[in-house]
This record gives sequence, C-alpha cells and structure tokens, in this order.
Amino acid sequence: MSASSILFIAGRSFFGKKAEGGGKHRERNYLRGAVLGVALSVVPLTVVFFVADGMIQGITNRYLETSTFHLQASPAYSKTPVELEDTASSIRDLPGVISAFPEFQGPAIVLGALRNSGKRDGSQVYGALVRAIDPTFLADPGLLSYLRPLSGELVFRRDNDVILGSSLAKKMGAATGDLVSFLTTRAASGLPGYSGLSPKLTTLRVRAIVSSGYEELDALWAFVPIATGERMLAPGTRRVFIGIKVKEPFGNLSPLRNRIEDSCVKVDVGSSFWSVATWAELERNLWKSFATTRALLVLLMALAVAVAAVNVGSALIMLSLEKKRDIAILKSAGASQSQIGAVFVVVGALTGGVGVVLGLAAGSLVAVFVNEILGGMETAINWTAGLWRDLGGGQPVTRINLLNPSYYLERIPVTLSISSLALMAILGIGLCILASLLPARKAAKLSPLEIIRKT
Amino acid sequence: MNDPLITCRGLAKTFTSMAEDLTIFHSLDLVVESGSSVAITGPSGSGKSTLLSIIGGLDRPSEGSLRVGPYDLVALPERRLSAYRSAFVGFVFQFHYLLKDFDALENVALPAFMRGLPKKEAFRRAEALLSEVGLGERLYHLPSQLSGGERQRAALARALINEPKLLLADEPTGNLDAANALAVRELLFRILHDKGTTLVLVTHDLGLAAEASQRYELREGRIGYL
Repeated sequence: MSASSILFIAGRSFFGKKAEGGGKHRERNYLRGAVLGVALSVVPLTVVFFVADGMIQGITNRYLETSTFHLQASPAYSKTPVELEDTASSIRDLPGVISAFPEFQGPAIVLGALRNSGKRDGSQVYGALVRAIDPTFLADPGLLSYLRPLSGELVFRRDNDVILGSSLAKKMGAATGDLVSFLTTRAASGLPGYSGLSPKLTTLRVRAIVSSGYEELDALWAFVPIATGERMLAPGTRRVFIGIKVKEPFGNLSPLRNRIEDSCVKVDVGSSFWSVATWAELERNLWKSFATTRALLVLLMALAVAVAAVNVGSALIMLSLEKKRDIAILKSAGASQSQIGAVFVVVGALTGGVGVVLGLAAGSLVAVFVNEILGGMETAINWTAGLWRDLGGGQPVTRINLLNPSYYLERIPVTLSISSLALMAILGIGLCILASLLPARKAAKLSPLEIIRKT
Repeated sequence: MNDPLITCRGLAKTFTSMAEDLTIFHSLDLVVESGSSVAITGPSGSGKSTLLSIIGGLDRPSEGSLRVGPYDLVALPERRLSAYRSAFVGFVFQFHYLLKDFDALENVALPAFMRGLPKKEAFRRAEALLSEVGLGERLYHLPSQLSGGERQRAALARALINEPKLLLADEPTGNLDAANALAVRELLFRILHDKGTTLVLVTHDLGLAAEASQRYELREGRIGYL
C-alpha cells in the first residue's frame, strides 16, 4: 500500500465524506471526543508554558534592568565613587557594552516617615537596601522601562534626596516630600575608645516613590546619590560594584567578561583584584528556582496530555471494532498487517494533530489575554463579593486578588514562541502516536476471514 | 487444454478446538484451468466458502499442497500472501462489503491505489470499470445511496480493478432479487469472458452454476465433479 493511499484511507476515516447525509458514524464521534480531550489538555499546557515563561522572563528582565545588571564588576577592596567612575568609563568604551554604572549597596534600618509637623509616623522600623547610584542611572532606558515613578520626579536634586520603592514607602507611610531616617553603620575606629562600627543616622527627603511592578523589589529599595551612599555605608558593610549593561545579555557573555576584567585591571593600576560575574551567576538560585517550578508545572500539564493521548488510544480501539469489516475487506484486497497498522497510526496522529492545533490555538489565545482574563475574573469576583456585602450577607471584604501582587508581577508579559509551540505540538502528537500503537497492532492482527464469516 | 491455474492435491482443512477437531474437507484434489469458470455447489456447511478462502489466501489449509499460478500458498509467508491477494486475486462476496465512507468510485479505485498505482490512474481505471458495469452515472454515490444490485456491481468492479488472474465469488447473487441476480450473473460472465479471467464460484444458485464451464459438488468433506 502506498503512503498516499494510507493517508487517503486514514483521512477519510477521520474526516468522513461531506455528502454522506445523515448516516450514523459512532466511530467518528469517538474520534471527535478524543480530539476534544487532546485539545482541552493542551490548553492548560500552553497557558502554563507561556505564562510561566512570561513571568520568569518578566521577573528576570526586571532584575537585570533594575538591579542585577547584565554583568557586575566588583573590586576586591572598596573604592571611592571617583575611582569607580574611572573604571566604569573604560568599560563603557568596550565593544558590546551599552552602559556601566558605579553603585554602592548596603543594608539600612528605616525609621517611620517624619511629617512636616516634625512628628514621626508610627514607631515601627523597616529593613531596606540602600542603593547608592550614579544619577545617570536614573535616565537609563532599561531601568525606565521597568521602573516608573508613582509620585515625584525620578531625579536627584540634592544630596539628601531619596527615591523609595512603593511597598517600602507604603509600609512606612512615607509620601513625596517627607523626611525619612536611615540607620546605617559607620567605621568607629576614629572615635576614642571605640573600634569597629557604630550607628549612623541619616535623614533624607523623599524625592519620588517608584514601582518596578514586582513587590519583592519595591519593598526593599531606597535609591540615594552615590556620594551620599558612600557616607551612609561604611566600608565593610557595603557592596561596591559597577553594573554593566551589554547589547546581548542572553548571548555568550564569557568573552566580554574577560575583556571587562582586563579593562578593570588596566585602569585600576595597583589593584589586580577585580571579579566580573554574569547575571546568570549572580541570580543562579533565583533562576534555578524558577526553572524548577516551571519544569514541574509543565510536567504536570504534560501528564494531562498523556491521559488525553490514552483516550485517543481508546477511541482507536473503538474505531477498530467498528471498522472490523472494512479492515477485512482491505486485507482481502491485499492490504498487509503493517499497512493496516499504519492507517491506524495515521488516524491517531491526525486525531492528536487536530486536537493539538486546536488546543495550542485556544491556549495561546488564553495566554496572550491572560492579564485581561485575570483582571476580568477579579472584577467579577470583587463585584459579586461587594454585592453580597451590600445586601447584608457578609462582612466587609478587602479586594480579592487572584494572584497576590506580593509575589507576582502586576502584568504578566507573554510572548508566544514558535519553537515552544512546535515543541508542544511534537509532544502532543508524539504521545498520541505512541498511544495508537497498541490499537494499530490489534487492528492489524484482525483475521479477515473470521470477520467476513460473521457478517 | 489450457495450463492449470489452480492445483490442489490432498487438501484438508480441520478446525481445532478444545472440545474436538472438526474436519471440513480432506483429500481434496482440484485442478482449475486458466481462463475457465468453475462452480462449486453443495449444502450449507460443506466447506465451500472455506475452500474459496484458502484459494484466496485468506486462510491456510491444514494439509496438502496448493499452487495458484506461480504461488505456493502453503509455503507463502503472510507478508507475501497479502501481495498475492493484491496482485492475483479478486474477491466478490455475498454481501457487497463496500466501505461506507467512500463513494463508488473510491471503493473501486482503492485496491489499485493501495497496490501502488498513482491515484489518478487508479481513479481513471475505476471510472472505466464502473461504466462497464453500468454505474457510470453513479460514480460519486455512497454505498448507502446505491441499490442492492448496484452495490454488488460496484463490488464486482472493485474485484476486477487490479486485473486479477483469478476471481473468487462467494454467493455473488445470494443477496439479490431475481432480476438483479440475473443482471449480475450476465455481467459477471460477460466481463470474465472479455478479460479471460479465471473464475471460481461458490453458490447455491443452480442457474448461476450452470453458466460455469465446470461444476463440482462439495459434500461430506469430499469434492466430486458433476
């Protein structure tokens, strides 16, 4: 039997003939059911695949553009802002590098906001990460694509300006224009009778409140001018580095890293201790955690596809039972066992193929509009809850969020990838072909004589 | 005398079950000349259809030798048996067994298409054969849209599509009314005569059997020339 005749018979068994009128075709109903099963199982797989990818990509990009940078060059010993700027300047000249920003980072305890009346708001204290940055970083396009000011302006006017993350500001009750105090440590070796570190209180005025769209970051950050940061954070308690952005952050960064390291050493005469790390090394734990979670989710969803594929196998067994007589006739006309088997495998692949295509289309649609769908669902749920409360049926309710903004992005960036779609299609169709092997074998082994005798 | 197309020597068929062995026929000798028509009659259960299935390569004999043309059907492996059925034999059954999802043209063309003939050529040949059996106007009708006689004529066309040397017919008029049975009978012998195809026919219809050039009766496990 030629391959084209196998496709012809399989295609007709699957799609039927248009002009066949109102005849009953139970076997095709089984196949349609199997198609629906495959399609329904592929929808969540597609959604999870792209939404998880989108969230990971979204969070990763936020980290990369706002805090981790694409690479970080760190000196072994602390440097002054001027020294760092000299090195950063040489890095900027390297091919493939877009920008380089010196930064000091260190922990601080933030005291509640000081109102204009001079009264401190509350008695609670909060942990924060002081990011002492070069003011030019605030104009970086990468940063600006993820960090938006909720109030105030994204610029340092004075040395005592601070820009707060939105969640941190909210916890403190701080607004633009308020004064906030930061408790850090300073070297106490200069003080008589002391060594080590001593507390240092710095009061700064809130210039702006910003959001990165990711609460974990917004709850930590307090940006200050680099010179202010140098005074606030004692050497030994601060991390000093140059954040570097490059043209191809997801490409092979090793050659560029070596060039950056060479450049640092060349500029920083007298100190050959610079280490340069890529974003993947710096965020290895976070990245691994995301990848593991995503792999588990995809595996669970793939199990649903496997169950649907088994359903395809069941439908094919029903098809072989319903088509016994046709099989007998094809065999009496010269079709071999392997050819009959091939027809069933092709029907299985067609069933899987149509189901996968439908599922991928529906899943992609859901994934692309996942933000709107979640928003709509939240609105509906909150509206219903509000109605219930208004009718006196319940306690006042706070807004219900389907995805807790503390842990998820405000908006999930979803980008469909052809290679991922192709991978899912291969997985779905491959499982359906595997599931069709047993019924194909059974159909191939049917004895034509027994069937013809019985009918 | 033409060369023999079918030569059976000491052919036997026994069905083995847990309870007992049932011998359908034994020591059966039969020679069918190329281009001849042979009718086998006999009471129900005498093994006529079983003999036809063995000659057609759908079943295996329990004993004896069977040669059809160049094929030794006792020794032929399963894979080559399907090639034998495809290239050498055409089947017509009591029931038409047309595939319900395929129209008349496709039903007839399918064996040729399956055998490897290009689709266009297979369909051209099927169209010519359907016209020959009087169904030139019913090419695109599904089996459910054809009458009993038309279905059987389509089944006859399907059996002849690969230009077989041997046509095996098992009660080809058994399901038809008298007028249709007569039409199919005339058609069958006319086409076979024109094409020079050998026919082995199993039937209860003595009128149909009378048309054959040789007649045998299978009774109580043995075959006899009438």
